[in-house]
Amino acid sequence: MGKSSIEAQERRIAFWMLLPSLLIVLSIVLFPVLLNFWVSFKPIRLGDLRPPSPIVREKIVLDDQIVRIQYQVRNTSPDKSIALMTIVDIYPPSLQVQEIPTGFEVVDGQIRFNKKNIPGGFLETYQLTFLVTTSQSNLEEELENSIPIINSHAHNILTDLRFTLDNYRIALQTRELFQIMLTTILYAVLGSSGALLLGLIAAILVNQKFPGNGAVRSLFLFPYVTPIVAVAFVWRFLLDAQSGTVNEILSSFNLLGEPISFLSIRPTALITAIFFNAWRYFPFCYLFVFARLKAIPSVLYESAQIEGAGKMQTFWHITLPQISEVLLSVFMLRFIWTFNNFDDLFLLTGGAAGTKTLPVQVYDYALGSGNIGGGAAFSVILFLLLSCFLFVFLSRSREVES
Amino acid sequence: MTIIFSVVISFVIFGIASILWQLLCILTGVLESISVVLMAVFLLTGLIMSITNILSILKRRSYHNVLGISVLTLVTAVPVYWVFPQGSPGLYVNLVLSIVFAMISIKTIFKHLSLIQTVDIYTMISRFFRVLGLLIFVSIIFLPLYFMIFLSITPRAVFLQNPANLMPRFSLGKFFDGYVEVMTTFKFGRYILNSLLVSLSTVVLTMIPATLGAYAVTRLRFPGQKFLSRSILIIYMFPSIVLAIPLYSVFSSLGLRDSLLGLLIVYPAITIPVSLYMLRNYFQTLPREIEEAGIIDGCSRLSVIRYIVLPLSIPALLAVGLYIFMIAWNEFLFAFMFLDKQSIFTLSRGMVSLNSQEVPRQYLMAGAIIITLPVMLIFFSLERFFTGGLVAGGVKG
Repeated sequence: MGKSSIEAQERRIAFWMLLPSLLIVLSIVLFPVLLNFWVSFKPIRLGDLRPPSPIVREKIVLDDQIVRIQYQVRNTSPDKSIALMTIVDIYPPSLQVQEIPTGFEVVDGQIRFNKKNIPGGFLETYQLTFLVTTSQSNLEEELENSIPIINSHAHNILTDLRFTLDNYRIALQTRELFQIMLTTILYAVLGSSGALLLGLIAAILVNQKFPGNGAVRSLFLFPYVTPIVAVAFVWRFLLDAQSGTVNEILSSFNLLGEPISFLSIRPTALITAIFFNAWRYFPFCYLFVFARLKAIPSVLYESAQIEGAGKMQTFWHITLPQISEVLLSVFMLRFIWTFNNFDDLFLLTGGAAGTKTLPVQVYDYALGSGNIGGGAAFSVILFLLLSCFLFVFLSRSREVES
Repeated sequence: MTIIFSVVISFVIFGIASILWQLLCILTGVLESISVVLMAVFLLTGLIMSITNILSILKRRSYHNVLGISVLTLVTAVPVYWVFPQGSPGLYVNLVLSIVFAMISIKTIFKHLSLIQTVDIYTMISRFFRVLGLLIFVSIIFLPLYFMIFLSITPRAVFLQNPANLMPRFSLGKFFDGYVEVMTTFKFGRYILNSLLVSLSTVVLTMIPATLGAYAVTRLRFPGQKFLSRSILIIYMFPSIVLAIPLYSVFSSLGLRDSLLGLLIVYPAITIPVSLYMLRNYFQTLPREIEEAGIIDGCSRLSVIRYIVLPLSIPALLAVGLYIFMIAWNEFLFAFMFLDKQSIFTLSRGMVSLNSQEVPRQYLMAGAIIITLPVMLIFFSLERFFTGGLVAGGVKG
């Protein structure tokens, strides 16, 4: 009996301790993924995201014993209508109502106004006339101090029930869709392989004693750790066709007839992007491979040496089998993250010259062309494609584990 | 057989050394383009000298390094001077460097040769290529870093004269011009404050839920514990861009979008999973007994955490905190998509605004250094912890 209450207590505590993390992560990560499905079926454009709201300007005219209060109502949106607007304002008791336009009502010292379906571009001024019955010294001040309270409600396309299949129709009909998917997969596979290869070489190189070993190990992390903003621009300048250092060096060696446009010509741009990816992410692979290398018991190496195995043989038959699992896991991780990569490609080429992958396409559609619904449709396609790969990978790794 | 092999190897090494020499000269602005004649001269004299040295090794005579290098340099410099009378001092400095490299390589290889009879190709070549490989690696990593610093202090006109010349050429007075410009005209001072604010807040907002959650996943038993423990990192399989579009829409409607508050909602969601993972790895290494002793003595779980676990975890908490800071500081996508008002730009967003035709590259690189510096400092101080802590959980024998 005591045991189960302890268990129940643990469960309760665990629930509360995990709640904030789960709440934050689920609402910011999982909820938007589901929301994508919703948004992809709606005709939302960038401009729709800001629902129209009215601007009301109050103007007071004092004319001897007559007070005129004017409200100028304007719908800032040129084409979208405001579903409902209410204005509530107060007026000093020393005034007596003389004339009010239709739609206004004056009750208990309050001016109220309701209007439905204000069309886009609406602009009209309403005037109410009052008589001053009892004199009041601070009349003007009191009138100026009363600020109208405005409430408005507009149809929010996110929440209403208009749906469309247009987004998917356009997305699936894009001639380039297949090209984009192919580019994404190619970029992911080759980039990850490159990073893994470089990481493996780096781990092997560093796995010996030499002066400055520690410093080199720290230096290796530089490409991965630096903000993408900084690194991307450095490489853009290095690879520049007109004034780039790389082109200068190559032409000094008389290897080039004319400078290579690394980032703006069809096949070269993707190749350059792949090399950039390998360069930037090899430290990640290096970290994992190196940790695994160090964990290989030296007994294995010693026995190999005793049996007279050469360097190549040692590597092939001892080192490689030991690290094969790490190589596979790291490749899978890098594949997924390279597949999802947006920042690098956007900053390097903007998706031009054959480097447009699915994530870049999502951005182009949603914020470049302002078609939020279309962007969401591509996001769904990206997500589904990614899930296929994930499924394959996870079932593979479960096989490996058993 | 051995002699032929030695000759071939020294030819290859001196070939590489001559290319290295030319490259060094170009990078230091000493030469504008290569001269085949110069290379041939270098190669020839080096070859002759190395062959004579090889023969002396094979005959087991002593091998004097300094003497050999000096003689070789002098002998090579004479024909170089004859071909290229207006050569600058830099030319000869690079010559010495290349010859040193060549001689060390040859010596390393032939150290083996003199000790063993048979030619173990792999041993010899692996040694040489290890040194070469390290050099190549260090340079392809170091080159962009050096270039970033170099370009931030070199005025545009000076750079454009010879884009391949990476020797520092700047007038002392104008050294910090780029940085001053960037901080004042382009408001990077403001952006630094914004980035600091966002990053520090993210650390606070992440550490609290992550610490509690990590403790729960490690020590407490509840349904789904194993599942959570293994799938924390699955979150990172989702592309950020897929999250960004709906969040953009929702935040726009709520008015949260063009504000730092919006970022402060999103960033913890990105950093909590990995923090949870790292803290969980660390907590798993803490012995249960200490905590259990505390519970037996009548402390509540929270007290146990506060008075026992946390003080023991200070290094891990510090490391994780710095890592979160780094992620928030470097973040680009959401900062770029969400922020429109210039006054709330973070550094990532601000950098992109520097990328236009009118802004000299010098300023952009100065900005790049500004944004990179804190991260470098953090990461180099944390490197040891990462090769241990971060990776430990995922690497099993």
